[in-house]
Amino acid sequence: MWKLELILEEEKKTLEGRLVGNNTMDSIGDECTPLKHEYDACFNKWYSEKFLNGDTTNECREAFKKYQACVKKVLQEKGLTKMITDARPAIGSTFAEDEAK
Amino acid sequence: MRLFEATHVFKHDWDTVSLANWRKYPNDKTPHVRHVEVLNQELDETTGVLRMERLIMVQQNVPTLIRKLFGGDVSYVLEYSEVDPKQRTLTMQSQNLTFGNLLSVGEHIVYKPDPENTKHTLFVQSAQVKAAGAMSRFASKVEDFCVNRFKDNASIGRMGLEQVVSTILAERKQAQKMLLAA
Repeated sequence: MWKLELILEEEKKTLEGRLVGNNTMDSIGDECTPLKHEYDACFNKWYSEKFLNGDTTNECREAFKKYQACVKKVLQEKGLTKMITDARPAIGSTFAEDEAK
Repeated sequence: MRLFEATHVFKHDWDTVSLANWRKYPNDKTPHVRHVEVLNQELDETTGVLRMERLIMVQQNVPTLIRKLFGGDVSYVLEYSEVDPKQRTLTMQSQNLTFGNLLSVGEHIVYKPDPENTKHTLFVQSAQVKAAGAMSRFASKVEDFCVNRFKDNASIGRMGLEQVVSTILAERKQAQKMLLAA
């Protein structure tokens, strides 16, 4: 019995390691990285478990708003905002700068 | 102007491949992709369509001379996607933001179930490379160079995606094992 528990414990660690470990990317702004990781984890789970099965509730909206606000500030500081706004028509993006959903 | 077109069949279902598309970075094959930020996301609750906008920061390994000429080795790409979960289609359109005075690279990608085997995913990619004013004297040479570079990166990108698919499949197997053992 204890052997089985040990194996399970190991499996759990490997799985958790895979899920939160090396599969994430840092944000352009260091201060946004924890918010990005939180959002990314939410999105990946939601996308595969809910969205693809036809569920239309956006569960990650709150996590996204926090992360988005942080990145927006960093992009402004880096002077990238105008470049992004100008490129939107070329890729058919219908998002506008002050759109925060 | 040069066009590059390619199709590829991933031998995995669309659900898995479309998830892998969002989880594609980081992977060992594409170390030049440094950051991927989601700028906007919106889910249309009536149609079920998800719209996403991302900013990608790329840092290519280029010779010092080129770096000096171009004024840097960091470039940004803006990408807009729509995912229709009912039709099982993911479309992406992207455009370079930096070095636009030298070169314009627009890319269009579609992932959908392969009509010949719906358990597989058809990947259709096209890119349009156009040298800009500052490069007009060497336009065709620059465009050829870029299309070749694009071809190399495209096959590396497919390998990267396969790698992410493997990770997802391994995770599922592991989760199932845990469920069975519990």
